[in-house]
Parts: sequence; structure tokens; C-alpha cells
Amino acid sequence: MAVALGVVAGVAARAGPDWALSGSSLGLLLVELASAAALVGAGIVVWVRGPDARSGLLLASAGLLRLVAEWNNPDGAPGAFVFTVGLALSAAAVGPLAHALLVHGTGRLRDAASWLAATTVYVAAVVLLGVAPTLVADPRAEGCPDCPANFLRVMTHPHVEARLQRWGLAIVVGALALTIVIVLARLAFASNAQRRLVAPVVIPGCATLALVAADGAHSRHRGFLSNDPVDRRLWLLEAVAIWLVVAGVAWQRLAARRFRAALARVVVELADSPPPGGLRGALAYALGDPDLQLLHADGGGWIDGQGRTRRLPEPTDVARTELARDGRVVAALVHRPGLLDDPVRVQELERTAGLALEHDRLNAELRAQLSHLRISRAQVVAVGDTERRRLERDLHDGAQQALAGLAMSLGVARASTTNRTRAERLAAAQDAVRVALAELRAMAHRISPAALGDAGLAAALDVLAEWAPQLEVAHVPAERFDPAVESAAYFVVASVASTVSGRIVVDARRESDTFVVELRAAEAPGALTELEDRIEALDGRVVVEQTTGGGSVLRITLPCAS
Amino acid sequence: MRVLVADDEALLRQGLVQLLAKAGFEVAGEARDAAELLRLVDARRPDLVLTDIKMPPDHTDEGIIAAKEIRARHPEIGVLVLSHYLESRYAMQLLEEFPERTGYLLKDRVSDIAVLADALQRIAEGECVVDPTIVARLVARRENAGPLAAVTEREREVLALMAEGHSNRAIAKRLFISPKTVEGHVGQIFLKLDIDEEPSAHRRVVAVLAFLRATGPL
Repeated sequence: MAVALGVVAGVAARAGPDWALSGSSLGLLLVELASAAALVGAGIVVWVRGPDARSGLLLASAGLLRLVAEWNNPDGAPGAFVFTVGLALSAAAVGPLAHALLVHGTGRLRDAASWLAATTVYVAAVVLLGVAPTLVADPRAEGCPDCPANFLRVMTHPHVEARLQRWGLAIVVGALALTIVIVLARLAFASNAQRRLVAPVVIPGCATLALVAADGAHSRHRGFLSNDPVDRRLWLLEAVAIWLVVAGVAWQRLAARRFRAALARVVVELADSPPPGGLRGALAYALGDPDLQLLHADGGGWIDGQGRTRRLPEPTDVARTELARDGRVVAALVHRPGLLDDPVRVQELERTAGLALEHDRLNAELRAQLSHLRISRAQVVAVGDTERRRLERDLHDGAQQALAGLAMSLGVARASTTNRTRAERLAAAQDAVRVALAELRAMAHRISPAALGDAGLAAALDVLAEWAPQLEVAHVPAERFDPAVESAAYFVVASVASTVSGRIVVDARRESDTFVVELRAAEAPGALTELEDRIEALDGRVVVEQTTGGGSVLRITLPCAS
Repeated sequence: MRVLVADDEALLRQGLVQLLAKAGFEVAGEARDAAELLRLVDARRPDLVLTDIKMPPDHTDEGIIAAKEIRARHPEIGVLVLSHYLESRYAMQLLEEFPERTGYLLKDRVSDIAVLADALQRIAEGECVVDPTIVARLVARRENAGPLAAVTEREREVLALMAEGHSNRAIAKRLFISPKTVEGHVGQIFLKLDIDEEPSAHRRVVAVLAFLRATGPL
């Protein structure tokens, strides 16, 4: 389409060089036509690849309309249709161009001033300088008998025509000045990222508008647009400025591609050798924000890469950008303000890091589930331990006390009787009560040794060694650990001591944030499932190694950060 | 002799009071917790105190702490701590600091009036008393290993009685041997076990118990 319009314009300009804006120079004509065609191409690129579709369409329209500008050539226009369209749209291109610059980056006219500026430019350039005068103009009657017919002519009113053009020129200059002020002011107040994105397009765009406005001001004395040497020079400068707009669009694509390539490289490296920070670290590096946070959407809430539940910070504190996949928000980046104002970067991020994001999210979800599982398992163990302690206390304060009371009553009765047979029977009863007490005592100790809660693991293991003679306590730190850690370590030792008959040596030590307990036994311990559950509930590990002498070493490691 | 009784369990307190009365002791007062015990000790100055180990508010080792407090404040008052716990660590806690006029017995053991009377008598005379079951268990777990394997049957008997807090004379009486023979056994035991001989009889109990309690490599 652009080629067709360009060919028509070329034919018209070559056939009527006196009327052409490019004059008689073929080179200038080509520069001019090529700039317009390039603008059409650049517009299509922006339309398809961003930053926003609307400004792309508008830039392409402006390019097409610039090709129409040469059509009102009375000598060259091939036919009345081309001539009339040329008359009606000769100045129209500036409308979509101004509109494009006002919306570039977001696709929206963001305020009343922008809306006013765009509308006014359209009215002045398309209606007042184009369609309206064409309706009342008759070039053949105005000193151009060889001109093609103006088939849009409704009546002939040279005065109205002249007035419309005069007003059109005045208004278009004002509206363009307003547009330039708005666009440049917005650029000045934009964030760095936003400015980097739009400046290459809007600055040469504003230069183009300024040149059009200058031509308008130049034409004011004359009362209509024409092609005197000043006009021609301005027209050529406009073409150069348009080339710069096209270069700006190219630069945008290049920056986006560079960003995407950098991201892609980082994401690929991430897949090969995940750094400690995972995707978050990689993105922090690629985007140049070390404090960058990556949060994944998880059932209405947010989790980080480690699966920990996080609150999304309020946008007032920091900047945050939501990343979508198939129209659904899947992640959010919390970053320093302005870092991701550029929608192109966000799109590239979503496109390039999509798979890595998905992978990271699944990992985080898995970690979150594991952590929930671990917490609930630890809770089950903790509840069990509390229950054990309660049982032991109940036995002590209840049954043991009652039986001791009974033994004393029997003792009193025995001391009170003079009957020898009765005294002997009472003594036997006392002995029976003491046997029952001894069994209760052993049971209470097995359930939960009082020393464990009162004095810690070292004391409890010393006590256990009195109950289990085969147990030898080589070394256990006297310091106190978390009750869950102490219980886990204790019950592992107690359980092994109850199943293994040969000598068992316990050796425990603290290695910075880890508590290590080693049990050396002549025979291998039996089933460890229950113990493993207990240890793993605390994020600990159980390892059994065979020693050369046929014995075994059971090693448990428990995190004990203090 | 005037004895003060402390136990949070009324049934046991009453049982002890009756037993003491039967054994010919005068009950100087009854306390339900450690604080009341200390108050009554200060007010009534008994000859002996009989106290439970676990009492309000925390039900841990209030009795031991109160016993140490009493022994520190009133060196002339003897204290016998009663407990359900067979472990040697509570006894050791008390004896390490105060090896004189102190004792640790299982509750059911004192239901035998003769045992109760004997223990209180020994404490009043300045000895210490350690529950024989506790000592027997400590001796048993070392019987076949280390230096204890080299100790003869008779020496082992002497060792256990030493650990229970008996004096050489008392040991001689129990084993129907002469005090001179006991001294000979004691010398052999200390030599074989490589324990430094303690100048005082009380310290001797602690040293022997410490040897028996050691849980490390032999």
C-alpha cells in the first residue's frame, strides 16, 4: 500500500516539479518518499512489538499520509481522484504524528491537555487545512484552468476557502506548540527507564512537529500552504527528522533485543548451574538491582524462592511489577523504583524468563509444602513429647504417691501389731507394693525421664546409663539445647539401648550450628523408622555406618542454631 | 528428737507423721511446700527435717534446694530427702555440697519403720545416708568391667556400705568383722580403684559415689 501511494506521489511530483514539495530533484524526492515509507515500516514494528500498539498504528498512518502530500500536484496528479485526495489530505499527516507522540509508550491520551492538543491538531490539519477548503475550492476557476477536477467541491467560495486556511494555519501552529510542550514536559518528568525507552522516538518526533509548525508559521503571511524554497527546505528537514524517528524505533528494538539476550543468557546459565540465589539472584544481576525480590503467587498469597510465605510490600514503599503468564499473574518483582517502568522490559522478562519462572515457582511451591510438612511433623513429635512428660508427671504424682502412701500405711499397721503372723503378712504386702512401685518407676522413666526436662541431655543420659548398664557415655556437652533436639537425641539413644544388648558408647558434640550424636555399638541397631521420623521432623539426618570390626556407628545430626 | 515433715501430698505426710510417732520421734510440724518448710525450720528449730523432693510451685527439685538452704543456715539440723527417683544425681547434688547430716532415700523404703528410724538416727549422729538400691545399681553396672572387676566379693560389700554412708565401725558391725579388717578392705579398695583416700569419712562417701557414677570409658 505504501509502495502504491509512493509510486503515485512519485509520478505526480516528477510530472509537475514546479508544484512538487521536493522540487525538481529526484534525490530529494526519493529521500522524502523513503522517509515516509520507513515511517510506515517503523509504525508497523511498534504496532507489533511495542512499546504500544496504538502509537505504532498512528506512526504508520502518518507515514502513509505523508505519501499523499504530493498528490495535489495540478501538473502531475494522474487524474481527478488523486488530485482531490491530495487536496483534502495534503496536511493531514501531522495529525496522527502528533497523536502518536502524545500516546507513545502507553497507548493512552493520559490527560485533558493531551486530548485537547491531539483533537485540535486533527481538526486544524485535516479539516481546516484539508477537507473543508476542498469542499469550497475550485482550482480551475482560481487561475489554474489545466488543473484536474476537484470532485469534492460542493460550491465555490474563494473567501471562505482562504479564511479556513488562514485559521487552519494559526490553529495548527498553536496546537503543535502545545503538543511539543506536553510531550517534552512529560519526558522531563519521566523515570529514567521510561525516558530511555521513549526519548529516541519522541525527540525527533517533536522536531518534526516543530518543523511542520515552522512551515505553518511561514505560510501564515501567504495564507495557504505552498512550495516556495523555504517550504521545500523545511519539507526536506522534516524528512530527515522522520528518518531520526525511524532510527529511534530501531534503537528501541535493539535495546529490547539486547535486554532479552542478556536475560536469556542469564536464564540459560541458571539452568546449567543454579547460583545460590536461584532465579532471584540471576534476575537481580541481569536487572542490576541487588535487592530485587522475586515472589511467586501461591493460592492468593505470595511465597519466595525458598517457599517461605511473604507479604507483598505496598507499592508506596517500593516499586513492584507483576509478571503474567497466559493472562494470569504468576509472579511479582519488588525492585527499586523506575527499574521496570519500561513495558518492553517487562514483556521481554515474561517472554524470556517464563519457563525459568515456572520452574522456580514449582520449586518454591515444593519447598513450601515440604516446610509445612516438616512443621506439622515437628508439631506431632512435640505434642507426643508433651504428652509423655504429662504422663510421667501423672504417674509420679498419682499412682506412685498413692502406692507410697499405701506402703507407709502398711508400715504403720505393721508397727502397731503384736501378732507375729499378721506382721509377717503386712511385711509381705509391703514388699508387693514396693515391687509395684519399682515397676512403675521404670515405666515412668521409659516414658519420659524427669532429668531430661529438668537438667538436659547430659544429665538424662547419665541417668539412662544407670538404667541401661551397657551404655557408656563418653562425652556429651553439658549445655542445654532446644527441648525438641534434646528429646530427639535422648530417645534415639534410649531406643538403641533398649534393642542392642552389647556395649554402646555415646559421643556427642556441637559443631557450630549442628549437634552431632554418635552411637558406637558392637551390633547394628534394628529398625530405625520411628527414630528417623523424629530426627527428620527437626530437619536432622540419621546415618548408619558399618565399621571394619563388624560393629556399627549410628550418627545423627540435628540443626541447633542458637 | 524433734522432726519436721514436708510433703505436698497429705496422705504421705500423715503416713510419715504416724510412722515417726510409732518410732518414737516427736513431730515438730508439717509443711506443704519448701517456703513453709524454711519458715517452720527457722521458727521451730527441729533436730531433723524429712522432706519430699518435688513440691510446689514447680515440682522439680525444691526439696533438694531447701535441704541445702537448711544445712547452710543451720549446720546442726540434719535433713533426709525422700523421693521416687532412683537416680543418683539428686543424692549427689545434695551430698557434694553437704556430705554431713544429710540423706537421700526412696519413699517406699522409709515405710519400714526400722529403716526410717535407723536413717534418722545416723543423720542425727552426723553421718550421711544413701539409698542402698541406688548404690546397688551403681555397683552392679560396673561389676564386670574396669577396676571394679578386680575387687573381691567382700571388698565389694564394704564398698557398697561405704557408698551408703556407713562408717567403718558400722560396716564392721554389719559384716560381723573387726574394724581393723574393714580398714584393711578399705585400703585395698582405694588402691584398686585408684581413688585418693579422703581424710574425712563424709568426703569418702562422695569420692566413692563419684567413682561409681562415672559413665565414661572405664
